[in-house]
Parts: sequence; C-alpha cells; structure tokens
Amino acid sequence: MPRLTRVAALVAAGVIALSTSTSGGPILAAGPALRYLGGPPGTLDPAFIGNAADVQLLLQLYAGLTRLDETGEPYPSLASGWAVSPDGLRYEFAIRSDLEFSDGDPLVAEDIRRSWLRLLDPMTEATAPDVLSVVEGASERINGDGPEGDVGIQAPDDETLVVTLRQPASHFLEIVATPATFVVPDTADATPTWQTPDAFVGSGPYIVNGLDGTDLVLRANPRYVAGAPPIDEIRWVGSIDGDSVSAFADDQFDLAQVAGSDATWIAYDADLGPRLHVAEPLTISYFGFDTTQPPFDDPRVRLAFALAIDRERLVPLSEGAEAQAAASLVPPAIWPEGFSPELEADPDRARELLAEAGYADGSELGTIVVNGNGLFVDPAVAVWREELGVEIEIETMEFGSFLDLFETRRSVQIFTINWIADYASPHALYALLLEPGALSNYGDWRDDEFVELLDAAAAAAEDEVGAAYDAVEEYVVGEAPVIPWSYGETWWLVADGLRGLGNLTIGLIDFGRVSWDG
Amino acid sequence: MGRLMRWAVAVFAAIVVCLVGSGETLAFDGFGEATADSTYDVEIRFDVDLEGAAPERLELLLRTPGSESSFVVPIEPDGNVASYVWDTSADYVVPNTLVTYQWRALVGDDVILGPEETIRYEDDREGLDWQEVELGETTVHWYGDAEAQARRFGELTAIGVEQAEELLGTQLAGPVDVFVYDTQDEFFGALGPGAREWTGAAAYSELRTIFMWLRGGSPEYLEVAMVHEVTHIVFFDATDNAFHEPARWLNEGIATWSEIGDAGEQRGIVGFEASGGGLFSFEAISAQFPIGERGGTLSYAQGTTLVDLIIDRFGREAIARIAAAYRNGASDAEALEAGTGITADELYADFYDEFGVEAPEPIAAEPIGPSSVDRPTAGEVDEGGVEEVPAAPDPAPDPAPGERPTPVATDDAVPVILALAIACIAAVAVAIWVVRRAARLAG
Repeated sequence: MPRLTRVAALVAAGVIALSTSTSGGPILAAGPALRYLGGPPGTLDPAFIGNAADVQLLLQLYAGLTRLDETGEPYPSLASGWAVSPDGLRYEFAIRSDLEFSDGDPLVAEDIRRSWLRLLDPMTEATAPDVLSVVEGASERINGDGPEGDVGIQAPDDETLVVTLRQPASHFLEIVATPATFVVPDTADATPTWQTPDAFVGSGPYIVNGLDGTDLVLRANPRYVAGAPPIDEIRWVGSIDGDSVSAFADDQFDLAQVAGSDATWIAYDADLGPRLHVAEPLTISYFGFDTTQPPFDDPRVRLAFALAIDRERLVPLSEGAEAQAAASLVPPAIWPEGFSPELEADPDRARELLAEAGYADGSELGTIVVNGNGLFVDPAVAVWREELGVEIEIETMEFGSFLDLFETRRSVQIFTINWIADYASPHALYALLLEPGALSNYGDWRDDEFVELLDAAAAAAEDEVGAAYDAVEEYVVGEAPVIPWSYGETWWLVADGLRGLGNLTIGLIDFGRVSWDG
Repeated sequence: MGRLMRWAVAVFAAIVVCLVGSGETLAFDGFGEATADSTYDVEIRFDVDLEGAAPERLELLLRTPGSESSFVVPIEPDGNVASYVWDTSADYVVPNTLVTYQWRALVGDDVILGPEETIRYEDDREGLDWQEVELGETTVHWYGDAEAQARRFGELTAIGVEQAEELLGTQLAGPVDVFVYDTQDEFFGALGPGAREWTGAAAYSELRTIFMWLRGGSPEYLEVAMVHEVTHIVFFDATDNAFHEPARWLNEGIATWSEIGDAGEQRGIVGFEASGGGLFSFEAISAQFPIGERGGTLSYAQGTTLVDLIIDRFGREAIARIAAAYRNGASDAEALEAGTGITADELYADFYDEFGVEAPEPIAAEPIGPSSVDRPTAGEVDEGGVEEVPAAPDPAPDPAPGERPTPVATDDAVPVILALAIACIAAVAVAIWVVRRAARLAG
C-alpha cells in the first residue's frame, strides 16, 4: 500500500499533472434510498472526529486530496495528480481547476491549506491533528510551539498545493485520504458547532439535508469531484426501537451492523445467512503501560505481562464472534504485503523475566491497577494473577474522565484503549500511539531505536515495506509498551443488490462508490 | 492612590495571606460522615463531609454485583462537602442492586480511602408496601394480599435450589431474594427497558434476585417458572468464571429440564421441527437465540432435549462435570467433553441422529459486487516517473475487492490526457446541461 517505494528517481517540482476535468461519475442518480443504521450522528466537523462512526459519516461529507478505493488503495480525488521530490520530502499536488463546495463556492488549493492549518491550530483543539504530524512544522504548531507560517504547506496558486515533510513518508497519500484532512468551507472556525444539519456545506459525495427525527438525511452532492453518486439519498438512521436484526429482517434497513452474538446464529439462518458479511478489522483493542513509572518502566516487566497471556485462546473464549486475537497493534485491514506478526505466549518465560526484574514474587509489584475502560479485562487479569502471582484491582470510568487522567499526567499503570487507524497504513498505529510526544502515546513510551526503525519503514521501498514494518513490530513486541489484545470483528447485514461496499471496513465504506444492481 | 501606596497595600495583603497560609494551612484531613440514599427510578445520591480543605482530587468508587471492577467518578467538592447523584431515571438500575461505594481522595502521592459502604437500591415506588419473610436461603418480598402465593414461591425456590445443587454438584453461593409483583406495570417497571412483554418471571443471577408477576401466567406456569429461574442462579454459581459465559442453550436447557426433571414436551417440539423447518446448530445458539417465536421456542427445546440426552446417556454427574469445567475456564466444547467423555461434535451428531437429520452447516454469504462507480478522472500521478502505466485516459475499471487497481497515466500520455480531458469536460458539460434542462422542464 505505501507508495513512495515506487519513487526511485524522483522528479523535481514542475512535472505536476495538468488539471483535468472532474467528470467520470454518473450524473443521474438511480435506485431507492439507502437506509443505513449508522447510529446517532456525532460531529459534522472533520476536526473533531471521536470514533469510527464519525469517520464513517465524515467520509461521505467531505473530500480530500486522495481517497481510498475498496481495497484501501489511494486514488486522486481533489488532486488530479502529484509529483514527489527526489528526497521524498516535497509533494506537489495538482488541484483540479473547477472544484466547488456543495454550495457552489469555488474550492481551490488555499482551501485545503486553510483546512489543514485549522486542524493544526492549537486553538481549534482538534481531536486528531497529529495525522499531519509528518508535515514540517506541524508538530510544533499542534503543541503551540511554532507559528502557522512555519508549517510546510503552501498554496502558490489555486491549482497547486506544495507540502514539505519532515521525513519521507511513503504513506502520505493514505494520510491525505483520511477525513481529518478533508476540506471544510471557510465558515469553519474553532468551534465544533459551525456546521449544522440544516445549513450544511461540504465537499464530499453527500451533503446533509437535515434531520428527520433521529435520522440524518444525506443527499447526493452534484458538485462532488466525481459527480453525484448513484444513490440519491442515504438515510443515516440514528436509533431504532428493538434490535437491528429484527429491523433488518423487517426490511427497515439495507445495511446494518449486528452483534457477534447474533452473527453466530445468523450464519446458519436460511434467509439472513446469505446476507451476513464480516468486515476486515480496522480497529484494535490493546493494553498499555505507564512506561514512566515503576514497575512498568522496566521492559522486562511489561514483556512478562505480555507473555503470560495466551491471546489466541483467551480472546475467542471471552469475546466469541465479537473479536479475534491481535498479534500486532496493526489491524489486518492495513497489513502491508509480507507483514507477518505472530502471537506468542510463554508463561514460564514471563515468570523468569519478572524474576530478572527483581520480582520473583509477583506480589512484590504491589497492587497493580488496571483501568479497563471499554474492554473486558477479566480474562487477562485472571491469568496475570494466576501465572504471575500479582495483585490487581480493576477500575473503569467514563471515557472523558479516563482521558483527563492522562492530561493531568496521573499514572495509569495499565490501561486499555480501543483504536481505529487514522489512515490506512501501519504507520498510523505505530506513530500515533507510540512515537515520543504523540498525543495518543498514553503510556509516554520514548524509545529512539523504535523511532529509527519507524522512520526507516516510512521511507522503505515498496517491496521492503512489509519487512520494514516487521522489524518495527518485532522491536515493539520485545519492548512491550503495549499488549495488542483483539481486533474488533464487525458483522453486517447487507441487502441484496448493493455493490461497491468493499471489505465493509468501518471507516472505509465510501457511499459515493456504492450503488444498487441494475 | 499613588503607585507606591498600591505597592504597600499589596505587600501588606501578601503578608496577611502568608501568615494565614502558614499558620492555618488547611489540608485535607480525611472523610467525615458518608451517606447514601435512593429513590427508585429517580436517583441514588451519595454525600460525604470533607475534613479540612478539599483534596487535590476526589473520586467516588462504585461497584455492583457481578463485576469486580470499580467505576470511578471524579467529583468536584463544594466547600467541605461533596455529592454525586446517579441518575437512575436515565441509566436503568435493576432494583435490589447492592451498590458498594467508597470515597477516595488524592493528596500529592497519598491516597486516602474512606470506609467501604453499601446501599441497596430498593423499589420504593408509591403503593409498594413491601413485606418479607425468610424461608431458608430465600427471602420472599410481596405487597398487597399476596402472602400465600409469596410463601409458596419461597417453598418452590427452596425445592428448586436443592434440585439444582444436586444436579450441578454445587452449593448456592448466597441467599436469594424473590420479589412478587401484582400488576403488569409494576412488574415491568422493575425489569426496565428491553423486557419482553411475555415475560412472567426473570432472574438476575449476579444480583441473586428473581422477579415474579403474579398474573404472568397460570399458577402452574408460575410454579415451574420459579424453579426455572432459581436454577439459573445455581447454574451461575456453579459455572462462574472470568473467561467465558457458558453456552446459552445449556443454561436454558438445564433450567427448563429442571422444571419437571425431563425434556417433556420439548422433545416433541424438536421432533416436529426436525421433520419440518430443520434444527439449529448448537454453535448457532451458544451466544444468542434467533429472533422470532420459532427461534426462541426451538432453541429452548433443543437445549432441554440435549441436556436430557446427556443425563440419560452419561448420568446426572455429567452435568456437574460440565459445570465444573466451565468454572475452570473451559470453552463450550471443552466443558461438554469434560462432562461426557466424547467430543462436542460427537455429542451434537448423536443428537441430530436421534432426530434423523444432518447437523446444520453455516450458509455462505452472497458475494457483494465491486463498485460500478467511476472515479474522478486522474491527471498525472507522477511518483518518480519510473513506472510504466497505461496511456489510456479513461479511469481504470474499478477493482474487485482484493485486486490492485491499475495506475492511470504516464508522462507520455499528457497530451492525450489533455485532449481527452477536454473531450470529457465537454461531455460532462453537455450531460449537466441536459440534466438541468430536464430538471427545469420537469419542474
């Protein structure tokens, strides 16, 4: 998937593609409305993405330089083409010449620059500004340590956007396909309320056409870069009475997620079974350690906790069809070719490591507190008690309170996080969760060797990407700043005749590319 | 006031503050009285007095039965008191939940814990003048003139417990509460949202509590329902573990079997369905039962009949061995094998053989077609100029899932692209004009 690998002899700026038309998409809408059980809509602002459902919605409402197809491969969207400098640090995007926001206002390179700078502006307090941290000066801007002018984003004219990176990043075309980087109109300010369902202006395949009860009504955007999508209306259903399976069976929806516990019987059901699909996971649940405080500042202790648990057995046992055991922080939907993480469990070695770290008796670790926010931690806790002899207490709290703990730098010895990749590259997980200084590096792990390996992977040639990320993974496994636990399994019921849903990975389903048969 | 004067006043004020601060520094000095009170379907309120100044951080730890996890609520003190209101009108809590709570203060690196207290969230709705009687391990609660039925339920609970203990090879882990409701509204008001309208009794095993509705069925039905529900509680005690919830068909099968000590009419239901619509896979009904009346009825029937088969063929001790295996963290397949000595697949095969049908197989999903939507026309995608790409200017056909898309343009193709792009623009413009014109005409 990473693309920089194809860049051998790089071309200097100026070979940028000429803008071409924004045609290609069908003009006439066809087929009935698509009724999607999407849940209550969250934010309408790409700067405030909070979860996978937000990503899924905002992908329909905004557009960026690139977009991902059903295989996760980026293709030109607002940009018609690009050129990369020989050192891999400068991207020059050709912006199409006749772009418009959904209200008819022109959309030019400066709008993309403005949108990105807004995302990075510390006053915006965006939730995921660090997706752009590979851009020169971006991290400093996010942290309030650098001026806007130092950020490596220029728009010399309406049809050119020049981006300077602080290091080569073969996944940059995936980064600019993530909704956080998508283009917002100039009415966007630092508040999360500038955009409303009744006066929506966007740049994506669909526009919000108001709320109908708890349903968000989306209409095809005729000004979308690829033309109006074939399905004219999407009803983004916010809530239902009863369960989603019964509602789907009653033809109330065309597309709905169902629980793994229901998927187990639906798989055998003559009517619903053929319409049951499982998505490629893009989410990861993991345990993290506070690596700044004893005892988890010692990698031997962390590794002992990792090796004690047999995820291959425990995850299916405890979560059934809801999840699969995670071998890596990187979910399978975005594994590069050749990437081959392995699950390992070795309780004997775990006890040895604890003894080497000075804790032959696990109770000498004191009472360990596990903050099990959003994850059923009981199986792992039971094994740690049994295999390592440690004393453990479990706490949970509301997610906001949980994040406050990190902001106030209170130690959370072991915590759990459910995460969706911000962009379709392993880099999204490693960099955003483990790089020193990253906003979501909750365990505050700082390791120079890891950074070197990750930088090398980001710059690796295409046929070496899998091996390069394998090296990153191997290092992470050995240092164990986190324990990947499970990949979330997402099950869907899909109405007959829908096409273009790809791997059904939540966050990657582009309704602009979905249509009805015939 | 001149600048110097203001300076002097400021210095004086600072000295006063320092004196007060140094002589009478208020520090958090522990917790005073902690209380809790509840109103059903309204709130549970927690209050505590703080001695000295407020701590740097104050938290309330809440724990409910069935979970060893403490839910931590950060609290902002109001002077030297602090409160938290759990809004149970929005966040349903089952009546009779015993909430354990504890205040926690953080001062520097010190953690100060208040005493652990409990409050029982009682159904104190108006008109429910609860009375109770203890019958062995069971406390029966009723209101109105239902004492006779309530006592009968208490006796049946004791009988059910004894039977289930014997079958599951375990002892009841603690006392059981039975609440007997008179009206439908009061009963469903206790069960909360999501309760099915046909429910006549419900057990909350973690809470060790059973709710009954006096008019939820005939007296005979309610009597067997009582045994059924209390068996769930003993099953919970016998299988409780940190890893895995036992198969639902087994839990319901044992509870239903215990009603009369036999599969009874459940076997007939399985036989009827085997010759008609077919049976369910046991894997399929391990986590959840299918929707619809047939789904529920047949799931219960299959579970009960397989339990009966296990007891017939392997003895009642097999059920106790299965429960013990679960308690040790076994999967469904492992527990069944531990109990019967044959694999779960063999056991299931025997079941289907008995009814002359094949074990059901999962049904393959119909493939979802690839996108038929064109991408926006690409211009030059130059990633170094080294890649051979087709000269065709049209968008590449969309790949099917799993296929890699083909690149779309080359350096050499620019003139061609330009020409075709212009043509494309023209075509699109014409198309748009046609559509808009059509729309105007239609309007």
